[in-house]
Amino acid sequence: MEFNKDYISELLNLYKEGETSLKQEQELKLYFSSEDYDKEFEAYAKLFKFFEIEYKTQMEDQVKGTDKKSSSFWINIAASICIVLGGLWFYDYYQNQLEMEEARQAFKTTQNALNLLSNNMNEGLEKLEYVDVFSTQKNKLIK
Amino acid sequence: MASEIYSRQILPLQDKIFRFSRRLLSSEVAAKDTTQDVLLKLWKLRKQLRDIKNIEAYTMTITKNLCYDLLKSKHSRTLEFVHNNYTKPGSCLDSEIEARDEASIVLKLINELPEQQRAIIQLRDIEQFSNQEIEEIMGLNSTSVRVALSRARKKIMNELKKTSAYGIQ
Repeated sequence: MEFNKDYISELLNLYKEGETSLKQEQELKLYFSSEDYDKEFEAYAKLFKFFEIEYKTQMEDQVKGTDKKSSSFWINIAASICIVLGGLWFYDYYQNQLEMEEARQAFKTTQNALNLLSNNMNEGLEKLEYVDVFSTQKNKLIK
Repeated sequence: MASEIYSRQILPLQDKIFRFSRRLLSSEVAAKDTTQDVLLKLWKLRKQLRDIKNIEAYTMTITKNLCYDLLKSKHSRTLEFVHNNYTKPGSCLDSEIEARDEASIVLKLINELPEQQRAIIQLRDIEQFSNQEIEEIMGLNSTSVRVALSRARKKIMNELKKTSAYGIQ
């Protein structure tokens, strides 16, 4: 980029007064970063070069951020899905279990009722043995 | 998510915090410690970070305050930080040494400035903060920022012109 010498010295005067904008200071930095600045401005060049070097210094052993956030986010979602599915399955299972219990109960009562009935029937059968006795006695008499 | 804001917006500022505190404290080791302190302080404040408009300026304000506290306590104990030489040994290129030499003259001049001017030069000319941001960070009005900036620049330039007139000391 070509710079007019008068323009630069005007900028430098403004710079000394603290009146330059950041953009104008950027222009000055650019001007001095190229090697063909006017030797008249040698002192300024040193200053701007220093700023350049200083801006590049970095701290050693920086604290590093980890990007675990996104993975744990998905783990959270997977875990909640598991819990919901597990809940649904358990509800289903419990419901089934209840039905089975009811059926078992019904089976038992039916069985009891049938047992009762058959017992009564058997009692009736005992009385019928007299009929048997009667027929043998009758056979003795009537031959 | 607060910790995400922290790692996205605060952690990249480490170098800026480091450079600024190094400028104020004139010690590499103390600057490192201060940088850790600033990061820790901001980590504790991470929940409030989203309400802060200019996080960069806010970080710098915290850095400035911590450094000033440290300087005050050091002064009261009549201890001073020892000036370290910032340049790393190990390079033997002539041109690089020369560049470092020139830089170290400027560095010396900047470090001789009063605290406030040093801070403002650092914020403006190196970190390129706008005047409004510097006003916010330093707690000054626009005129005092401009005056301090101009004084600092004039002082450095006068000294630099002297040294180049006599050749490098």
